[in-house]
Amino acid sequence: MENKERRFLIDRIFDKIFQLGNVSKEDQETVNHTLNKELLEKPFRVAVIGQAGVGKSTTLNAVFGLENYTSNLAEGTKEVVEKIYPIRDGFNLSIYDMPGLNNDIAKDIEYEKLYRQILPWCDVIVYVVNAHSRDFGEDCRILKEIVLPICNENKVRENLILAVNKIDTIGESINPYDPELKWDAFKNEPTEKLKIAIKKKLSDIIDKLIDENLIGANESLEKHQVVFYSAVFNYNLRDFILAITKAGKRGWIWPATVGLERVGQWSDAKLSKD
Amino acid sequence: MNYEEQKQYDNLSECDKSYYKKIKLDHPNWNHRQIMVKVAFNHKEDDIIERAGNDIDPEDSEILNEIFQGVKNFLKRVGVIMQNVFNALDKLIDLVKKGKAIYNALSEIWDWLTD
Amino acid sequence: MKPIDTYNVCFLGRTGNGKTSLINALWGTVFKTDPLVACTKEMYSVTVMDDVPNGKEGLTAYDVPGIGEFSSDSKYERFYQHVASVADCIVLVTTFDRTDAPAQRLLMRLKPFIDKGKDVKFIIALNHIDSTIITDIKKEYEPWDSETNEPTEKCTQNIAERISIIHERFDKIFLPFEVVPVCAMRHYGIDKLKTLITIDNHDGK
Repeated sequence: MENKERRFLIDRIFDKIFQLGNVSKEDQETVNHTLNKELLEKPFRVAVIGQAGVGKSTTLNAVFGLENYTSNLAEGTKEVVEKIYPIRDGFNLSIYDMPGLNNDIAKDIEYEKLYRQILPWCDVIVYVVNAHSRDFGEDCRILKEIVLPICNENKVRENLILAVNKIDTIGESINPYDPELKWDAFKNEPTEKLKIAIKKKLSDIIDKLIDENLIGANESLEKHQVVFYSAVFNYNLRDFILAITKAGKRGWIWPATVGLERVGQWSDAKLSKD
Repeated sequence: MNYEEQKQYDNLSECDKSYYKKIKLDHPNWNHRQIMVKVAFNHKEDDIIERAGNDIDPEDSEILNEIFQGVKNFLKRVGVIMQNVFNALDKLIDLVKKGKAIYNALSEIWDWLTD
Repeated sequence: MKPIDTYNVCFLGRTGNGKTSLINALWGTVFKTDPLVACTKEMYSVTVMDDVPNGKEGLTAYDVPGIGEFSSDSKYERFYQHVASVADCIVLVTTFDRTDAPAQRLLMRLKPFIDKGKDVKFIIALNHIDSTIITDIKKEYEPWDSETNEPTEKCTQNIAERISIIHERFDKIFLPFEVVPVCAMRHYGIDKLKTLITIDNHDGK
């Protein structure tokens, strides 16, 4: 393993640092060994929570490039499934696909227990909502009364990301018949009229989050933990990756291993220039 | 506003100051911290809307900075304190913060280390 | 002078489910609706003199703002409690959307306010059955047969599936009920709903 050409971004950076910093072989071994242990000993665990229809799958594909991999089903009940994706060189990604609350009060009790069981062990917790949701008030309630308290109790609040998906459909939900409110798929950007609608919607969402003390309050989310994006159009995934990188103690591991280019298209280009 | 809050307000641009006042009128029950969050998000919203669907820049300095901080904190936490490695990493963080590409940053460290 | 003894029908449901459109379809009222934006923000009531159950002088329909946007300690909670206490019939308006927990919770909260001296009727109206959006995913199929003004076979299957879920979730929550599929826009199921609302519980079905 030590002799194999290491493909992780962080390994290649350290290789350079060792070279330039004149680090002893012994010290190199120590750093490499410690790093490898942290990267490979356990999988990088991501929990994804959301209602049917918010775009959990498209989000996972867009952010983690999951469509390039097949998973091994580690274990699961009908409700929660852990999927392990071998990414490369012994590094594994583990995804817990968790059901959203609010469909049935009987199930909610069961699911809340699952959240308590699983969330404390996750490196990143993604709560996905729909930008045009009529139920955003309910999502706020769930975050406030259930998810955030669980995270705070287990000191993993910094691992949480509120992912607001489908910003591209904000216009359609206002008026599905207005072509000027449709996302310009060709240029991959909003039309001028849609920009105004999106700005208003994002502003309303922020207002609601502030009113509910989900941001801008003690033990609430930081600014970077709220991301607005469109999975389907790969729009503003950069903020999402930044949020993952900043998540808790281990968020940095994801970009440090697979780098910042789309997984599967990662090239050696810049770092191997000598 | 207390002293700290006043300082934060004073450091805002003129544009942000008037936005601050507008928010205060719209949301009289919000405290200073909440208003400042709203001001910060105002820029973020514009960013999101104006930025086209670009691919992520593999040399995104903010993300790289976070990676380096993360690995450095990790090494510290597990007790691997190698001063020369840390110095090099700090230097790298510093250069990346200033917007240097990794490759260029690494060359600069070489220059700095061999001075 | 004795006050008019009305038969009180209370419409509950998520914002945007079409409570107002349904009331308009049932009794020919013209309360404002907007197909794109949920807009009932006040509590409306209308009293009609036709299609009134036996022994009553009028029928009053109460249209309350939708649940799901307001928390349970909001001012609207008092409205809900009031209409629940005067109700002879409660109609929960739902759709194919499966986030039922807010409605379940609301009914459980309102149960103590129901007048135990009355034989209060509970009906669940499944509205927007011609919608192709199931759990926010647009399905490509034809839901409606315009010639007969009825749902297609595929749509009927979706309706049956949704009714089954509704029973699973609401059977023990509140009162016994029947589910009526309706489409206010196309005036489908309206007569059946009206009959069910006004018929006496003790008459046979």
